[in-house]
Parts: sequence; C-alpha cells; structure tokens
Amino acid sequence: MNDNRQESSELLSLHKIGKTFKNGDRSICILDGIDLSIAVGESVAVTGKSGSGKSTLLNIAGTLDRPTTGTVMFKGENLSIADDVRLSLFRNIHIGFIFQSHLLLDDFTALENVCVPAMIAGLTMNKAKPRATMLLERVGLADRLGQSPLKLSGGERQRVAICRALMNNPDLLIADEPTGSLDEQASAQVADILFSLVQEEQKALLLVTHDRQTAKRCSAAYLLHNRILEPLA
Amino acid sequence: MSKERHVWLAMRLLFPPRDFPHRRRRVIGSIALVALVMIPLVLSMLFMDGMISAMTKKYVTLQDGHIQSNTLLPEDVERTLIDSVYSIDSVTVAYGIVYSRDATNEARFKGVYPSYFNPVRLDEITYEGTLLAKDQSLAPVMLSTTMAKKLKITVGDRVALMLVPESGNLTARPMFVYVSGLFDSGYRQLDENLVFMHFDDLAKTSGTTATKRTEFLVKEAWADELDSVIDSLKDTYDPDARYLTWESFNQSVYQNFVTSRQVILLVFVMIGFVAASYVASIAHEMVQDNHREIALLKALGASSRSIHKAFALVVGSITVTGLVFGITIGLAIGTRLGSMLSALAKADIPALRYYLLDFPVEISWLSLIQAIAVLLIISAVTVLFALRRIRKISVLELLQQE
Repeated sequence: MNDNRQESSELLSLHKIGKTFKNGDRSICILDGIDLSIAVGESVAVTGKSGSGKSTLLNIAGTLDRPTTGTVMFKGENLSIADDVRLSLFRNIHIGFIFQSHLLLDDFTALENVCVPAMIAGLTMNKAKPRATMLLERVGLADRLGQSPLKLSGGERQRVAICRALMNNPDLLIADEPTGSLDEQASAQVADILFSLVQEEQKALLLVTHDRQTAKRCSAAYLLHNRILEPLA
Repeated sequence: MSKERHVWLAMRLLFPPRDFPHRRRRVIGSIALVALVMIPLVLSMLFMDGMISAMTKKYVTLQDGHIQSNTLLPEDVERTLIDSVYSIDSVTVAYGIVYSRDATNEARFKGVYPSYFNPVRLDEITYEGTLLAKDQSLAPVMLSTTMAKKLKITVGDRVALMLVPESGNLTARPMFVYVSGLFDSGYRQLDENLVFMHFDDLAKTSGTTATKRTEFLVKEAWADELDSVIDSLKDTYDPDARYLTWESFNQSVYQNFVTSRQVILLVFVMIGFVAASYVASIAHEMVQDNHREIALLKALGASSRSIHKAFALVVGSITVTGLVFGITIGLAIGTRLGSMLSALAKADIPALRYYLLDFPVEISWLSLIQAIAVLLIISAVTVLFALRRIRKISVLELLQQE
C-alpha cells in the first residue's frame, strides 16, 4: 500500500466498518472495524478465503450494502447517511461495477449493454454509442457489437462488462472476482485488459480476487482474515 | 433514468429479441387475452344499449309518446308553438278483444288520425295494406302481423271486436271492422296487443269507455329533457292539464330497463375487475421474469422509481393495445350483429318475444369510454400494487444467487 498518498487525493475511505448479519437469534460478525482508503488512480486488491467477507466489504464500498457500523466517505461525502435515490445516482456516476458472473442484460446486444449506464445517466442511445463502440473496440470486440451476450464466450462477456463499468467514466472501478469464472487463458487476457484500461483511463480500482498474482498487480493488496484487513505480505 | 431510457427499456420488454420466443409469446398472449375480455364486453354493451334504446323508441313512438296529457287539445289550437316538440296527436285508447273465425286476442285499441303516422313513427314500423284508409262501410283497423298470425287473418279480412267497458255494468257491444293493414314494429311484446283504429271510429264506438289523450313526440335533442318540455307545454297550452312522461305510463317496463342496465353494468364492473387482476398478473409475471435485470439495473444506478415507470409503461401499452384490438374487433362484430339478430327475429322463437332483435346497432361512445375508463382505473391501481415488488428486489440477493 502506498502510504505516501496525499490526503487531498483520497477518493474512497472506509472508517471502522463493521457488518453483522442476524441469523435467527444469533448475530454473525463478518467485518469488524475495517479501515481502508483508496486514492485517485490507485488500485487496491483484497484477497482472502471464501466466506471471509470480501464481497461484503466490496458491496459496502460500492454502496450496494450498508455497514452496521462505521462510515463510507467518497470525496468527502458521507454516503452512510445518504438515501437510496442518492446512492443510485452516486453509483451511476462514480462507480463502475464488474461482477464475477458479468451480469449482462441478455435481451440487449453487447453495444447496448455497454450503453446502459449512460442511458441511466440520461444520455440518449445515439450519444452513448460512440464511446461504447470505442471501448468495445479497445477490448477487441469490434466485430461483436450487435451480438447478444448469450452468443459470447465467458471472456468476451467479461470484456463487455469491463466496458460497461468504464462507460460513464467513473472515478472508481469495483471488481468482484472478475476472472473467477474464466479459464486460465481467458482469465489472464481479461486481467490484462482490466489493468491496462484502468491505467489508461487513470481510474481507481478496488479488486477482490482469490488470485495472489493478480492481487500483486495492484498498488496495494490486503488480506481479509478474521474480520480485519491485513496488508498482504 | 432518462425519459428515453424508460422508453428504450419498455420497448425491449415489449419487443423481446428473437432469441426469447417465450417472452414474445407472452406479450402477444397478454394482448390477446385483454382483447378477448373486451370483445364480449363491447358486444354486450352494443346489444344492451341498442336494444334498450330501440325498445324505448318503440314504446315512445307507438304506445305513449314522449309525453302525454290527459286532455285533448282543441282542434283549432296552434300545434307548432314549441320548438322542442316534433308532433302533437290526439289519441283515444280503449281495451277489448278481437275475434276472428279461428281465434281471439286481447287488444289495446288506439284511435289515431292518419297524420299520426308521421315519418318518425313510420320509421319504427313496416306495414302492408293502408294506414287506416277508409274504402268500405266498415271501420278500418290496423293490426300487427303478430296478432294477425294468431288470428289467422290477413289484409282485407273482417274481424269482430268488442270493447271492454271501464265500469262493469255497461253492456259490451261487438262490432265488425276490416283489416286495412298489418304493421310490424319488430317488438312482439308491443305488437301482440296493439290495434290502430281511426280516432273518430274508436271515439264513436267506445263512447265514454275510451280515454282521450294528447300525445307529444319531442325532437331527438330534447328526449332527455322531458321535464323542461313539460314546463313549456304547461306555459303554452293548458297549465292545469296533467302531463306525464312515457316512463310514468310504463313504470314496469322502464324499471326493467333500468334494472337490466344496472345488472349489466355490474357485470361490466366484475369483468373489469377480472380483466384488471389479469393485467396485474401480467405485471407481476413481468417483474418475476425480469427479476435479474431489475436488480442489475439497480446496481448500475437506476432508481426503483424509474424502473417502476418503465414496467408501468409496458403493462400500460399491453393493456391499451389489447383494449384497442378488443374494441375494434368487438365493434366490427357488433356492427354486423344486426343481420344476425334480424334472422333470429324472423325465426319466431317464442322465448325471444320479450327481446327486440331487429334494432339498429348504435355505438354508445360515452358508455364505451366509461367502461374503458373503469377498466383502466382498476388496472392502474392493481398494476401499481403489483409493481411495488420492484422496490423490494435486492441487488445483494442477485449477487448471492449469481
């Protein structure tokens, strides 16, 4: 982790994040007092065992879930107290999500899928198309624009998902095991594309991965273990 | 989410790609089912409105007029003083029995002058022979074809008739008359007993037995304003005379009409509820089917409200398309009902005697709009209720499932 970051460049910071789930009468603590901050253009990896709470932490960072305790700050704004409408708007503008299982809309073409965040933001399809096309061309899918996701391979779908995440030019990309469901070759290809695009577009990246090699490509890497974050050796 | 986004998402839901034939079938099926609900609704509405308004017209034109006064207007009175009135006729009414060689029939004798058969009344009947033209020494009568069939007589035949006195102690006198014409109003219930005679003949024959009245037919535009027409009549003619509308004379008939209409409207409302619950189930199914897509759109920053709008637009479009198809098909079939019903009327089926089957099909746009409005309002409420589920769809659930 780069400890020389300037306070002014801080993008996302999680303070004393705790998350407890109720299971009947029992409370299960998943996260306990987690502190994490990501600066502009920085990439941070979180790794850990299955069930350690990596995805929960990612969901909290991406405002898809709310912490039980602690605060989520983004560019100085406390998102822990924002309402759902504000959080929806925030996600649309500032966050690009890449999920493990790509989660594309099957009814839409690859190009349309990439346009979706822009359409949600209020752009017309015609205005969104040029950037979406450019992104898809950059990930090598220029000849797949009109294809349904059902006709794309796993790697191709994940590349479409990366383009979709970048579509609104967000400050932060949040990727949850983006290569988790791919074979070795596709996995390496997608990881290469992701890191090169993040670098080219100068985006911050919060990445959850099982793969230590991928984690090491980030500027900082943590291990989530026993509900707390530890720097990865 | 932008306005175009609503439309775009809605269009995708309405027109799924070829790879999703089951989604296409569901959209088409939903439209077809809404249309199927509307077709019988439109048909029954046309049938009900057409028949009731035609029956009302028969009663008004042939039996009682729109308004009756219990006095006769003097012959020399100016009868064209009121704009709202189409015609003013002196009539006399008596009850009795008609005898032919083979049968008898109870009758309501109506004494009228030949001018009584004005274009409006002639529109309501078909006839053979003459309209009470006197070419024999016997008094002419005009019976309905229904009665003639029962009495086994035709134009030119003689029949005997006997008027029943109002007070029982008077002696009833039979008289011979000849059938100058046969009429058919198409409504057997009315035709069964109605016999037209010349006003002077009936007045002479009945003496004090017959009641003398003045019948007023009002112009079409004033048919729903009978009370104000009565006020004008009172001002212009005899203020002390009693003026009654046709409903007062035919209380039971009128009440039957009102009840029938209420029952059918109740049925419409129930159909509306069934259709609305079906439309709500379309909405529910769509949300269920697109559970994953809704969660994903939320994750990407779409608000529940905007997704709600897109789905409401889709269900609304399906409902409106179904309504348009249903109404169009219903009207297309309905406007061809006439010939089918005429054939039924000619079939002479006893069970149908209380129905008027030969009537012009009139489209009551107001009733139709009211029915559609009720359906849309109920649908809108149930759909909004069904779409509330969108708010509850969780992104986290989706991520856990995936």
